[in-house]
Amino acid sequence: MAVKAIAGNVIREAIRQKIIYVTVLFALLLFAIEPILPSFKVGLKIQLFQDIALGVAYIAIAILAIALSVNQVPGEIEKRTIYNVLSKPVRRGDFLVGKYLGILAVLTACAALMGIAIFGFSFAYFGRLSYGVFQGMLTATFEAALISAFALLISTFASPTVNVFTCLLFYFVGHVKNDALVAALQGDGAIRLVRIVLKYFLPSLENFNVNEAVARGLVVKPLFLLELLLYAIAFSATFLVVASVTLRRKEI
Amino acid sequence: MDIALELEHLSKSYKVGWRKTERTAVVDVSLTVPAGTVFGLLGPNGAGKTTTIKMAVGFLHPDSGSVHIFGQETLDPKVRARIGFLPESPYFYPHLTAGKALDFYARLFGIERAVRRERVKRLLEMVGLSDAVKLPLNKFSKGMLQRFGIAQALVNDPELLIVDEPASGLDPIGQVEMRKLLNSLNEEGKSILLSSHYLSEVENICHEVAVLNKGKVIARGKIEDLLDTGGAYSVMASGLPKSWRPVEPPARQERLNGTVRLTVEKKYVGSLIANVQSSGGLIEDVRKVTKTLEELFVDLVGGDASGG
Ligand SMILES: Nc1ncnc2c1ncn2[C@@H]1O[C@H](COP(=O)(O)OP(=O)(O)O)[C@@H](O)[C@H]1O
Ligand SMILES: [Mg+2]
Repeated sequence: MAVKAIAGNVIREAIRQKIIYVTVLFALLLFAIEPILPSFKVGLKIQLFQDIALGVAYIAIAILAIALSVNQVPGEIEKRTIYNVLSKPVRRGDFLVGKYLGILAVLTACAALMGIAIFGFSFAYFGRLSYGVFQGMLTATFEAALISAFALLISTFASPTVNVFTCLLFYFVGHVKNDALVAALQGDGAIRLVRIVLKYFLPSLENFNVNEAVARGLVVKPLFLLELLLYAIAFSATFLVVASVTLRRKEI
Repeated sequence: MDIALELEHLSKSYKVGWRKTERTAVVDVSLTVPAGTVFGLLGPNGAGKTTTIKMAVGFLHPDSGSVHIFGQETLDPKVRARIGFLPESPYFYPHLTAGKALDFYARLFGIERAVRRERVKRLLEMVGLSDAVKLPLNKFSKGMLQRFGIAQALVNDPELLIVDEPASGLDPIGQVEMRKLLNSLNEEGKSILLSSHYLSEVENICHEVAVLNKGKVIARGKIEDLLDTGGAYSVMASGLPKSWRPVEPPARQERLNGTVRLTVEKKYVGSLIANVQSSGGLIEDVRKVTKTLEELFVDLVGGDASGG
C-alpha cells in the first residue's frame, strides 16, 4: 500500500509539470506538420513519415524519463518532505520502487498518447492502419523505463544537473554500443575494464530501436518483445537494488 | 519498566565542504526514555538536539554509539509502525490539501480506507485544522504547518512520539495549546521525546530533561531538582518603615513600591517572620525560591552557550 501511495503521489505531482505537456505537445505538433516539410513534397511516403515520427517519439519519451526521474529523490531531500515518508514503515527500497512505478505510469500514458497520435496521423494522411506503431512505442517505453531506473540510481548520490549529463552519456553510449565497439577496445588494464563494463554492465539501448522495421510495415515478433522486456526488467531491477543500498547509506 | 527509547554514547560529527573538515555536533550523548514518560532535550540553537533526534530516527548514522526503540533497531518497519516523528520546521507536499496529505501518510502505514477517513477527520479536529481540510498545504502558515505536522505524526496512533521543536513557529496561545496537547497525549500513555530551546516549553510537561550544549549533556534529571537553589526562601513583607532592617541579614533585600522582598536561608525564615511582625510589618508571601530555567542555563553554561 505504501508503494502504491508513493506512486500515486508521483503521478499527481507529474501532472503539474509543464515539461510533460511541452514535450508531448511538441512531438504531436511535429507529427502533424511532418507531411508539409519539403522532403515530403516529392511524394507522401508513409514509411518516411513513420520513421521520423517514431524517432521523435522515441527521443521524447527518453527525455521525459530523465526529466521525471532526476529530481524525485533530491527534491524530497531538499524540501525535507522525505522525513515524513521515511520515518514511517517505508523501506528505502519501497520508496524507490514507488517512485519508479509512478514514473512508469506517466511514461506509459505519454507513450500511449504519442502512439495513438502517430497511428491517427498515419491513417489520416495515408489511409493505413499501422498497428506496428504501438509495438514501436512499447519498446520505446521499455527503454525509457530502463533509463528511468538508471536516473533514479544516480539521483541517490548526484545532483539533478550532474544526473542529466550522466543520463545523456548513458543514452548515447548505450546507443552506439555494439559488438564492433567492444571488439575495437583491445588491450589490458584500464581498457580491459572499460570493455568489460561496456559489454556486461551497460545495456545496449539500440536493441530497443525497432522503428525502422515498424516503419517498413514489418511485424516485431512477440518473443523478441518479451526478450526486450526481460532485458529492461533485469537492468532496471539491478539499478534499483543498487539505488536502495546507496539510499540506505545516505544521510538525510 | 519498559524502555521506549534508549540512546547510548552517541557521537556524530559532520564533514563539511570538499575538504571534509569535521564539525562536531554530538559528543557521547546517552539518554533513556522510559515508556509513558516525557523526556525533554533542552539546549540553545546548535546544541545538537536535531542531530541527536535524527540519529534516533535513523536519518543519520552515528559515528559511534547505538539507538534502540522498544529494544529494537530504529529502521525496522515494525518499530516505525509504533513511532511518530515531527521534524524541525516540517514541510509537506505543497499541492496536496491537508485532508489528502494526511490520508497519504496514513496509507504509508497500510491503514484501511474506512479507518483512515475517520482518523484524518479526528486528527485535523484535534489540532484545530478542521476548516482547512480542503486547503492546499502551500497556503498554510508556519503555525498551521506545525499543527499539521503533529497530526501527521499521530496518524498511526504511535506509542512513542519524537518531536523536534514542536512549539517553534507557534504564537503564544498556540504554544500553550501544543503543550496541553502533548500533555494529554502523555496521559493517554504515549512516551514523548521532545526538544526545545524555549526553556518554558519543557518546564511543565517533562518528567526528565537533559540539557545539551555544544553537543554534550551538561546536566540531566528532574526539572525540580535542576531548578532547586539549595533551600533559599523569599519573604515578601509590606508596611515596614523605610529605615527598617532585619535583625538577621538576608542574602538579598529589594524594595518595590513599599513592599520588601527578603531572600534568606531556610533556617532563618521563622525568625525573619517574627522580626517583620514585631516591627509592625505584614507578611504578604513566603515561598521557596527556584531558579527559572533561564537562570539555570546561565548557571550551567555561563556566557558560553553556543551561538545561533
Ligand atoms: N548538515 C550539517 N552539516 C554540517 N554541520 C551541521 C549540519 N547540521 C548541523 N550541523 C552543526 O551541528 C551542530 C548541531 O546542530 P543541530 O543538531 O542542528 O543543533 P540544534 O538542533 O540543537 O539547534 C551545529 O554546530 C550545526 O552547525
Ligand atoms: Mg534543531
